[in-house]
Amino acid sequence: MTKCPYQSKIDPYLLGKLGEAESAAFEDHYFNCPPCFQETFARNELVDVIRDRGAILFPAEAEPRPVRRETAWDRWKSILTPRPWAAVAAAAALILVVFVGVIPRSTPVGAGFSPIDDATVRGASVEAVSPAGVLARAPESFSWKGVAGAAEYAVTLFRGADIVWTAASADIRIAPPEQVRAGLESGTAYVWQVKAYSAQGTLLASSARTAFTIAR
Amino acid sequence: MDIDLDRLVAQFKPVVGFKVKKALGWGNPDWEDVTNEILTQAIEKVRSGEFRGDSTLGTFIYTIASRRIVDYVRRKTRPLRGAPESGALPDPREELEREQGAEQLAAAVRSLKPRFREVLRLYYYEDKSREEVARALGITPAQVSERVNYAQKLLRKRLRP
Repeated sequence: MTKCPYQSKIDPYLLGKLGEAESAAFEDHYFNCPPCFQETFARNELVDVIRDRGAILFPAEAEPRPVRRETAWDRWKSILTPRPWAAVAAAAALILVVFVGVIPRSTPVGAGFSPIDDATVRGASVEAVSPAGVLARAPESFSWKGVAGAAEYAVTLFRGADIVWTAASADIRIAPPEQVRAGLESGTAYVWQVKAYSAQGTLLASSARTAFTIAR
Repeated sequence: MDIDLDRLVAQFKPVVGFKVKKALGWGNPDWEDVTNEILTQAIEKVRSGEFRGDSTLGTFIYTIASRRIVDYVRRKTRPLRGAPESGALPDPREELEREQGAEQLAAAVRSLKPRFREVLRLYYYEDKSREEVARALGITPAQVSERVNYAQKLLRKRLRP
């Protein structure tokens, strides 16, 4: 079956990338082309779901690394295969044992090592309570369950990768300023996160990124 | 002109409905009344002989739809309502159906293999062009389109009852 040349316009149309005249021409086309209309209709549902729920569907996924072209260094490295070097390392260790009497040991944990500094205490998490999911109106407050030992919480509200608002609270609830609330757009996916800090400023726990959308 | 009016309605009601919802906003409850008015007008014009085949039937109905939407947007005429107290709130049943459909589709997206989810994320959610997606994934733009199309086929297969 011959592919309709207008099929390439479906995504740009749904994503709002066509100009007014081009959009009208495409609409006139799908009024006359049932296969293009069916494809547009079906694809629209997908675009809608992805646009509305993307923050939940694709939670903080890292940007894929671009595929690197093999360089001359890569080719040299590939010549030096692991096996010969493992044999060399084993021989060196044997030499050390025989002539020096030294058995290499794993690096000991030094007295100065602290697992806390800027790391999260294993096992602790903050549970974000609301807002979440589809809301009828902009949220009036953000709330979460407390964490033992937390002196302060930091809330950050994202729209995509952009920070919309951030604030600190000693309580387990915070109300966004009115101008932040008024600026939240319906139909747009927002994501928020709360982190718990000790009195010394150590990060104790982070919540999962929680998404919400204000219904249109 | 001999046009099967039942077939006209069957063919064009979903098309007009889609165009109207897109123009008025997906949650606007007036879409159904506006759609019915457009189809009623189209049928009247076909019956009265106003449609002579100078354009295609699709273009004829599209023109009627575009004008009615412009009227609505400019608030020249509001659709006639049966119930005087009908407000601007969306039909809860329609909302629920849409929400359930969206939830099923979202679950199907989540179940896709990463290479398909990734292309959907970059193309539809991150709003990148085909070329940008191609660069990010180390594939050609044509392969981006193939993956997007294939992902949609997979989703439709999973959602089939």
